[in-house]
Amino acid sequence: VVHTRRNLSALPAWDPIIVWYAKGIAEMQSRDPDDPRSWDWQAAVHGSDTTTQFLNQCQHGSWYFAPWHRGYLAAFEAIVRNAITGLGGPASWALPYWDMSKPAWRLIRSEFRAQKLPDGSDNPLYVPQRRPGWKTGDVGIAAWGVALDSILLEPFFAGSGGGGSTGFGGPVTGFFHGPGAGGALEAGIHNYVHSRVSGFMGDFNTAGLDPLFWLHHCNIDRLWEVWRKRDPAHKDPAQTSWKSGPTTKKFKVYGATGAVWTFTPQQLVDTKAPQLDYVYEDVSDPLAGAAMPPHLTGFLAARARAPRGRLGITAGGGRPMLQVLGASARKVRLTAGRKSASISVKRPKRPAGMKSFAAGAGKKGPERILLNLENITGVDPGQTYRVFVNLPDDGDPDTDEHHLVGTVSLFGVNTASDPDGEHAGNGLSYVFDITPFAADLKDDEAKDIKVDFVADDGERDDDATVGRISIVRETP
Amino acid sequence: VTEIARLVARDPARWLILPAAAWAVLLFLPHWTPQHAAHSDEGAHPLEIIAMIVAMMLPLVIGQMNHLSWRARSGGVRAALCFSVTYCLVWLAACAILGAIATLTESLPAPVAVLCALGLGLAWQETAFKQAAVRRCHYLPPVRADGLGLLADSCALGLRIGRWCVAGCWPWMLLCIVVRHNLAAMFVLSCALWFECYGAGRPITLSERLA
Repeated sequence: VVHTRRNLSALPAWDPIIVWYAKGIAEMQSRDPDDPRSWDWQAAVHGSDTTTQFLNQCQHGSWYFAPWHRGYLAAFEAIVRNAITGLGGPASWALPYWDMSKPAWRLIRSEFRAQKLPDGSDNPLYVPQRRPGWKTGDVGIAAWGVALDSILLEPFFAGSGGGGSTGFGGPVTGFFHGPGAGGALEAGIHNYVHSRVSGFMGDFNTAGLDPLFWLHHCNIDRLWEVWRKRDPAHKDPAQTSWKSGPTTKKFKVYGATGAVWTFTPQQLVDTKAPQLDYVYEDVSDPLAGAAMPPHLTGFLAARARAPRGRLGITAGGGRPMLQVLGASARKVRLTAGRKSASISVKRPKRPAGMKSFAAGAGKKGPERILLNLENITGVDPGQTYRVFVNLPDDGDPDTDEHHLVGTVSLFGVNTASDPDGEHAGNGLSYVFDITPFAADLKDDEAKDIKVDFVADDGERDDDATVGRISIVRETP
Repeated sequence: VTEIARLVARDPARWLILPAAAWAVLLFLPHWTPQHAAHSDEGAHPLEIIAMIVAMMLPLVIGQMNHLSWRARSGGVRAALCFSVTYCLVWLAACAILGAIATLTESLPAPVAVLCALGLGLAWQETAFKQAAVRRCHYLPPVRADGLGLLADSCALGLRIGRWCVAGCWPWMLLCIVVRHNLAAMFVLSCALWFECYGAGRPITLSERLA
């Protein structure tokens, strides 16, 4: 039987899917924390102070982000279903997904705010560790934070990383617990919702303790299906290093029977595969067939026809060329309200270091201009910021939306900023495609690009810091 | 040649040319022949120590070298080389001290000295300080985009990473010195260090790896 994952937001109040989810969680919470099928253990698989073959595995800032979370979610779903059937519930139960495409759907549902279940027992969906004010349901999830345009229009699954584009699914890495600059899916709606719900959801190590985490990730997993279906050019990576990866450490989780399941991304591509066994209620295109931006169309075509030399080697080994056009000289402190920074950029006549053999050097060709926000450190993972490019000084962030390039969410910033932590204090990184804002940039001409950060919240305990802002050109 | 040059220029692993050359130097240095090593009372030649550091330790900082070269507007290769020279100098200073410590073991039978060094390394591996040191070795800071500022940032990073790398791995380098010119042992140790650095999830202690 193929299970159908339904839209949580469209379910009636206290639908059996939600009630059984609560009962399944209650059963898991009653188990010994050392039991791999317990609630605490499942959360620790995502993040934990202890690293083992099974714990502290989550993949962020990596092209394994989507497949790892898919396998993790499937194993969790099987454990919950097993608990539900053990309680006499339906074997057809499947995780619902938290669709946020409508304003009313961006509120935390009442079932996740009620202290008791309809039968009067304690409600495990009630988690007080959320952003202050969550009891009203409104944690400030805004349309700009869950916008899907730049995510679903990204043509490449994998990004080049290292300051280059991060693709839809993240940069090419080995097993990578992150955080680094994530793909559009991770850096956009994924991180934003983690930060807005905050509390347990704001930290890698505790995120899985909030029942909303699993429903949010179910929606993230669904968006992978939406991305693939909406454009025939959207394809999963063909490299063996992705399909059979990672090589240095395999993904291992416990299943519902307590058996170990070792999985690779290629086993998870088809959601109807025996180990997954689900479909989504709705994978229609929310952008209604919107076309890829022209600069990405050209980039995609150029990558497809990358010249091969006599030895049969694709130019540059298939890797795009990256070139820093400018960078900030000092750190930028993100205060409440609006903070501006100006970056002086200059496009050289031809790629530096490639003068003798750069293909098409000096000629106009497809390119992406990328805004890099590097080494973002801080202590409050609940902070979110809108990022604008060339917003006039007297411009209004709420109405001049055409200057908005994305959001920065500080999900995980506390652990990422700890120099003794496993992320070495590198902080978070974000990459935005700002090509349309640099369209008038001519060769050998200097120009200032202004970047504005607008905090979504007023008062906070501490400000975050952006270590460096840079503008990078990527050519095929 | 152009095709290969283009491929290498974009390859994140291109810096491994340096340690590969250092391994070649070690392989072909007459000092490393077993006959010579077994009967030599001489200390190691500085060239050998430098080659040993480059061969064993430089692969651990490929991430920093790429970070500097990719984050530079110009002079990225120069920055990466500045970083690596500073990093190796820190190790060279550490090796001078470790060499002095190794002389203290000369009165012991060779197998006992090796076992002592190995035990020290395994014990150090389980300490929280070792874990913190290895984690700090993955630091990739914001750097200036070009000019002297970039070079200064590169040298500062070389000092910082070198310091933490020495703090994390000094017992293993001591073991290399104690085993006296044993290239096979050096290679096995290097593989273990590379795995620790790039192996997934960064569990450092043996107990964590086996869990």
